[in-house]
Amino acid sequence: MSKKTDWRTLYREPGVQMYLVLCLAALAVIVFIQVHRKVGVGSQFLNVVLMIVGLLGIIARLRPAPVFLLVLLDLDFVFQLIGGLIESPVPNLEPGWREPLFFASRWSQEGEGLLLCLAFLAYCAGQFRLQSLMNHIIPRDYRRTEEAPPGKDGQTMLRQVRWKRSASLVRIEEVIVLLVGLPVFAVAGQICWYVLQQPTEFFALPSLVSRFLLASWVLVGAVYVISSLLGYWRTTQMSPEQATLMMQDTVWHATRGEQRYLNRWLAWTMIQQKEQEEPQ
Amino acid sequence: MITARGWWFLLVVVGLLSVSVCAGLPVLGVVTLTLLVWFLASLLLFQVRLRLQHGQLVLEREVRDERGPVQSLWQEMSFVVQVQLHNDGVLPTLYLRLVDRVPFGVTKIAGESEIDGTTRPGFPLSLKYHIHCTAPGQARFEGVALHVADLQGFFYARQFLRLPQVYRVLPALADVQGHIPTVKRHNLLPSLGSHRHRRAGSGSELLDLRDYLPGDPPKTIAWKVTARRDRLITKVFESEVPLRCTFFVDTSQSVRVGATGDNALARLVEITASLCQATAGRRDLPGVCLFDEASVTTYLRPARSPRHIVQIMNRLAEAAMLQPASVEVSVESVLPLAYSVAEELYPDLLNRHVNHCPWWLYFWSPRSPATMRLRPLRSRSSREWLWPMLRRGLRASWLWFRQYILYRVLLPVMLLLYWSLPISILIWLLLSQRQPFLPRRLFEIDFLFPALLLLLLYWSLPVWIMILARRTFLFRWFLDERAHYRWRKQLAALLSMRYELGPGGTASLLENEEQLVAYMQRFLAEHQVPYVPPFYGLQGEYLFAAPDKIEVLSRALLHAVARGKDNELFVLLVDLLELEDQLEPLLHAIKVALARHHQVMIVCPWPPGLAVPDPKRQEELEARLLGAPVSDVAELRRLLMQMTALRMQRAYGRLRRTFGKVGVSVLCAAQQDSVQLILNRLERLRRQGWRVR
Repeated sequence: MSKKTDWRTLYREPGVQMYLVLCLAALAVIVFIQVHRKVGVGSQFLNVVLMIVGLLGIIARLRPAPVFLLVLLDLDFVFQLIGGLIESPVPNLEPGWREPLFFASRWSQEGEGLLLCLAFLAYCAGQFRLQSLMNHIIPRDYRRTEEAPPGKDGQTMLRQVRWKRSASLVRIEEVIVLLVGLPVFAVAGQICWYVLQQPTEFFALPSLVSRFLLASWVLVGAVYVISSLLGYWRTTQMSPEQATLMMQDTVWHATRGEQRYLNRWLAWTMIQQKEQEEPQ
Repeated sequence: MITARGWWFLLVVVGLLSVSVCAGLPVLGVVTLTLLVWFLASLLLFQVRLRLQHGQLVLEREVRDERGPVQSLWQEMSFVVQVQLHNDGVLPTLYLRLVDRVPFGVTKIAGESEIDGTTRPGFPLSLKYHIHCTAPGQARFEGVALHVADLQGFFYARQFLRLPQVYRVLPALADVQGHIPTVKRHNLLPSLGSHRHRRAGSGSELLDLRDYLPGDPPKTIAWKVTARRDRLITKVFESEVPLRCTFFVDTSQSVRVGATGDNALARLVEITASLCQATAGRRDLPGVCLFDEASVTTYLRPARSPRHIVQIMNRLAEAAMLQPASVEVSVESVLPLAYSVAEELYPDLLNRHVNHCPWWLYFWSPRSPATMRLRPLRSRSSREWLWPMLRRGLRASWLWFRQYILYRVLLPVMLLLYWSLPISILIWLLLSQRQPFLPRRLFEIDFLFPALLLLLLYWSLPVWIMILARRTFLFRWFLDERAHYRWRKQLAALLSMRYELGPGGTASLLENEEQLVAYMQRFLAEHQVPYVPPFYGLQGEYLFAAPDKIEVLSRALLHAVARGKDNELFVLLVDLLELEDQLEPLLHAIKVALARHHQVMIVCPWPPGLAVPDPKRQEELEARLLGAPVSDVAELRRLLMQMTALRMQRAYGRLRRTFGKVGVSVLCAAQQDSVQLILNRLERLRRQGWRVR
């Protein structure tokens, strides 16, 4: 089967088509909101680029498309900030965006923001799942190789195996679960942003720095606590072999120095003995 | 845990979030924060589900042929392997990719040994494929590798469900003509009385006539001949006493060299199995003696029961899987293979939570030069002595310098100076009150943030340099050595636990190279991983000649002769090429056997890929090699092969002459029809008649 036919066959799979539709719909929403949100020729040009990149991500399987979309989202504002055309933060352009979106009183504008979050989330999830179906889901390993189809000169070469997810495994249920979960994360993001926007000051540091430090500490603390709990859970699930090895490793770490001296002398003695025994 | 795709996504999201917070871009901030929350929640969910499915997966494997499940496999036959992964939990699993590890001794001929999907309670994940057994030995199914991932490909975990199952691959059943039957035959015995054992006995076939002796039973008198000759003549019948045949099979290091199933040992095992079956098929009694350079490992006295034949086949199958091992090989040559096998089969035991190697240990406690095996000196001439001694001295000096000066003194001092330089300058500026160099408010935010960033960049510069320059020669060498150090420690801990060496086992294996090499080779042999060790030692000597086996074989032969009940046939399947100088004990044992009216023949395995001995071709080859030009590498390689073949053919000729002097024939086990040749030879020997004691 040629490479071209392979892709065509994949695009005909119902599972792939479901995610294609999801990504296209999400991209349409993103582009619509961006066009509605921004004014100016430069911004509209950027929106066209965003649409092209988004489409390339879906049709041509451009892998970093979600990342590019994120970068392109407010690139014009960043350029304006760098060029000194606007002041940071941007109070005059979109006053509604400065407030917590979900909790703001004017739902029409803030609903747009929520929709953008949902659309981005849907696009990212759909695009990465498409990558799993069409590119690879398991990280590539240079040790796993297969024979590539013969080239023009008729020689076959080895290439890394790409373990894709079988398209036949895609069920409508998983897409529904994804769609149901999207608003939850969007709302959670809004809440986090709301918390992050609250004026906080400690140690006489500026509010921005205080919030940044607070957010960092909260994140690091949460990761630490959760990883500790998961680590404890993992310890309770250890097999006898793992437990034995862990205890043996603990003993080795505690007595490493003494054991090293003893065994080094023993090994040295054995080598000397052997060298003396060997005929010249 | 997090894949490259996941790391890129996370880094970009966190970076853009920081930009949005600093630059005051709320849209980008909210979107990236939403994505970050989604990513972290997915990670948590993945971890929790991974923990939940731990211990809930049950693996089942069945190997079957057309009649049903089997316990042993047969060479040159195909079988079906069925693997099922059951979920005993409540929830469906994450996305899985199940990869069954096909044993090295067999070949997958159809079907897929991997499958992906999820498994739910009552809905196992199953796969099925066909294997073909090419060589006798053992097929060890280790288990299945489980690659777990989320649907986005952000997170990944690898597990290995171990379910070791060892199946013996018994040598193919062959008939007298060497044909492999398509259906297994349980009874190959011919009807009684089909022997051609030319000695007097109580059989039904007439062997000879002789004069009557007092005591002869009257029923044996040949009355017609008696009447014709006018004196009493007695009929002598053939004996039905079966022939006892013992096969001495060489399993020493010299025949193990090569890929398992494709080396001289596999050939010897095949020949022995065929000969045993053929011998048993003629209602003779086959016995087997397996020996190596250390001792006789198996001795099965000649017998005829079906159980005995099965026992011989089992022992031969076990012997066929023996792999070459030598304590003379270096750690570096075995370590990468052993570690990669351990990484594949025991990922849970190499996890840093249970088997940890601190990153700084390589610098603080590297391998001691005192316990490294350096190239020994030769003292034959000054040219062979001076340069190796110089090399050895330089290497030892470099190792000592590296351990005690570079890693423990120079490197830490340099790094300390480098890292403390900015703080020292700052303290100096503060103490010397040099105001122009310092801002008015040192801890002002406009100064502090960039200064901290610069400081972090400065401090992490050595790490960045190492990351960027890791592909250059110097750093690659350094990183390789550091990786080898970590592999060594982790493997030492694993082997110490596996072979129950006690709490001090790890340290012992870390320091004692010889011990570590021995255990690594044992580990590889247990998992039947083909391993080609270096053939030559530090002094350039061939490591796998195994001359001690001649002494062992001689003792075994004398032992068999001493316990021989009748005139027996001893077939020595042994590699004696290029050991002509050390054949004295064997010649002595053979002479004893011949003096006791036994028969001896030798079957010598021939190295695969070399031209078989042929006197006419040998002369041609010699003439061709004399003036052969060498134009390129391929030509040189061909020439080397021809020279090796010539060397072996000469050695074979010498061997034939040596044993020919005592009346023992030597056969070459190279061709595919060796079995038939040997059987014909046996038959000829049988028909020659036996000298009566």
